[in-house]
Amino acid sequence: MSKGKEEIEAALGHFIESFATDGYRLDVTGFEEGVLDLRIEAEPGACAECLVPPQIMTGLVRTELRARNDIADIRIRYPDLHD
Amino acid sequence: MELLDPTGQASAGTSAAAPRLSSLEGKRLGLLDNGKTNAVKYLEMVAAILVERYGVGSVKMFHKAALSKPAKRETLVNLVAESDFVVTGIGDCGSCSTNSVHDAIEIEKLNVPAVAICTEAFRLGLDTLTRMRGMPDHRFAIVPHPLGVLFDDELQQRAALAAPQVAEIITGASAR
Repeated sequence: MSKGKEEIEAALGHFIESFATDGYRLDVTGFEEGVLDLRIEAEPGACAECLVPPQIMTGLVRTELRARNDIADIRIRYPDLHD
Repeated sequence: MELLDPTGQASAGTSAAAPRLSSLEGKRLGLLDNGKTNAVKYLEMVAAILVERYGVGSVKMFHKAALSKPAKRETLVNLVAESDFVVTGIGDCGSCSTNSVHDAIEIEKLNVPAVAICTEAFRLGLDTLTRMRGMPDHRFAIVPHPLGVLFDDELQQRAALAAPQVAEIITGASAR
């Protein structure tokens, strides 16, 4: 894992723990050329209505990482909870 | 050069909070129930303590349509028209805690002091939310996780933890 990705994962650690409380797994899946990719996966029994909407989550991540000037875009892949 | 955020999410500015109350004596308390399991029961327990120990004058419950979304503007306008201060909740999941704090901030912007009750599992994310919403000093009451699955005696214990925090936050009795 790259240093930048490790640092981002550490900065988002409390989000990762909060998501786990609701039955979700939040992973930093990539950070290349200023694009940060996150993935949220639902564990068995995850609470569908507990999941923070993508627009708000993107804003929270952007706010949390505001001090970094090397992030140009944030992409978050959400689970399809209708399966 | 000014850099603008195209998402409009991460606010760089700040908003003023509503003035704090000098005391809760005789004041009208509005409760905003988000529909979470145990929310009505828990908010009523907190309100009962605020009436008994702090002399709150009246209590009225309001309800929002969905816990995973912010309250509708109409709901908030009706709420502030009949309240001197507001308690929102309960926040013991990602979306319900986020939206409970969001609702409290929107109520503050309508010039009525408000506090959300959330569980500690989401505290740091909510600190980020208050910065994002332009009210970084906004405070919320924190109790141990969870709330939605507790029995009445456990809920009552959590209510006893929340009520003094609500009183402190609404009256500004302590700094963050």
